[in-house]
Amino acid sequence: MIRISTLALVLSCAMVNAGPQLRVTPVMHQTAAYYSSSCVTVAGMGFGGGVQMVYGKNLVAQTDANILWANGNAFSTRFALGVHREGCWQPAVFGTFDLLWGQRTEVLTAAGRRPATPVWAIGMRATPLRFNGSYGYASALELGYGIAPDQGMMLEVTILSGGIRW
Amino acid sequence: MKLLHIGAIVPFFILCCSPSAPDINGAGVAVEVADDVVTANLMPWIEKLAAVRMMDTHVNCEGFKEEELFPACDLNRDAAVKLVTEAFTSMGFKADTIALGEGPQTAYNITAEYPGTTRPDEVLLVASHLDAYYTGADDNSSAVAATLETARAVRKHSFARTIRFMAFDLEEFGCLGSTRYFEAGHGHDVVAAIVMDMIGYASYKSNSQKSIMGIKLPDKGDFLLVIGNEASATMTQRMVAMGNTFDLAKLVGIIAPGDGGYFLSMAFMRSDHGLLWYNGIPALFLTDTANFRNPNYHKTTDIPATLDPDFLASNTRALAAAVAIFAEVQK
Repeated sequence: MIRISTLALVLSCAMVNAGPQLRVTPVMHQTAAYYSSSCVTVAGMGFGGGVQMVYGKNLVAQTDANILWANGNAFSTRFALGVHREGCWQPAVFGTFDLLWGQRTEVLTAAGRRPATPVWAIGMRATPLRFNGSYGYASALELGYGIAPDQGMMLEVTILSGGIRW
Repeated sequence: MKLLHIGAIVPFFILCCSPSAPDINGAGVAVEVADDVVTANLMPWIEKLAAVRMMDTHVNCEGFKEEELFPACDLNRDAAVKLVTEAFTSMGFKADTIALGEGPQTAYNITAEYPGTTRPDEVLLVASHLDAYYTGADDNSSAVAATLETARAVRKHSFARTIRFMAFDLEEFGCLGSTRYFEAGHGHDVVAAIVMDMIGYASYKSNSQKSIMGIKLPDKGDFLLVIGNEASATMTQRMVAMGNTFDLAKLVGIIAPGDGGYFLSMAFMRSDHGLLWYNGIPALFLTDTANFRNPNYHKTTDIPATLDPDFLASNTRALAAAVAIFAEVQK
């Protein structure tokens, strides 16, 4: 998963040397996430923003940061790398690596230690309702599922996401 | 190369943020206080309270709606007020009744103090509520008994801080007794608190423990939950570490986010510590998780025979040790 995040970062930073086949789109979205393990519960609804990069015809990567409210003020940093269909309707599937920071409910160890920060999850995200146009894209109901240490799992729903290119 | 460095930040940050163990220096002396808890003293208090509660009149329930888990018109407290007052007095404390409010729902809070030696103006509050539905063995005679036995045990020792033992009234009516107590300014000198609500019911069967609002807990209900918020995180860590390390009791610690007043942590606010949390005063909440474990919660079946005396004794020992360490027991 570190390699995935590294690759996402490499792609985002490669903007400087972007060739003709790399398209970079700033994105914003509404999102909700629920992370639960035997040590930590993070949850909330909120919004965020980031960058989506399409390389060539089918390769797509996205990195974004989000704030989540419901169980304190939590933050997520998401890295995703995937493939999408060509055309106007561009459903995509991503492999994801998420980091969660900020406030959460913690279960201590028997020795009284607090769980580490941040917590992370690795998983998949499907974006079946993703549409591309000349000036950007729009996507609704993106569904993600991840697994995490300590019998953890993560669910995320991006309700609406969009980006504009210029 | 520069880009590789950016990618390396993520695993480095995960590693560098691993937390350290809490400081439990001085726990050895605190355990000596715990050793003064007498197991045989606990259940008789609960049986006496159950007996007098059965004969007691009910608190006027005007303004409260009766529901399955909140039989508002079956709340009693008068006999418990009398018994708890007499219990503190018999141990040599000066017990005071602080009446707050007006009319039939006046709250009668009982307080008894053990003065600190070097910093008597700093008060550690040790509290449980004395009102109960029906016989109220677990809810909340178990915690009242632990309060009384801890009060008896600490008198053999001296502490830097004052320990204020309290039995709050009308917790079941929305923490009326404690809310009025703090709003009237009586708690201005409280620097830390331990509040208990139901600490005597255990089950050793699998799946006897339900999760609380999605928080994963062990599936056997054989532990005491020690709940803190961000302000009392260190207290929570210390009590859990001490209790488990010295085998005083089986403790599971939870830290709620922020002040605890968020949607997913509201279940952790259900007792007299809530106002302390909102006001930023470090407070621990000890519980057997109430209806998330005990099927007798707020029912006529909440009787002494359903409690686990050994579990209650262990929890009382952990309480006494925590009181000792937070009131700064002196060697």
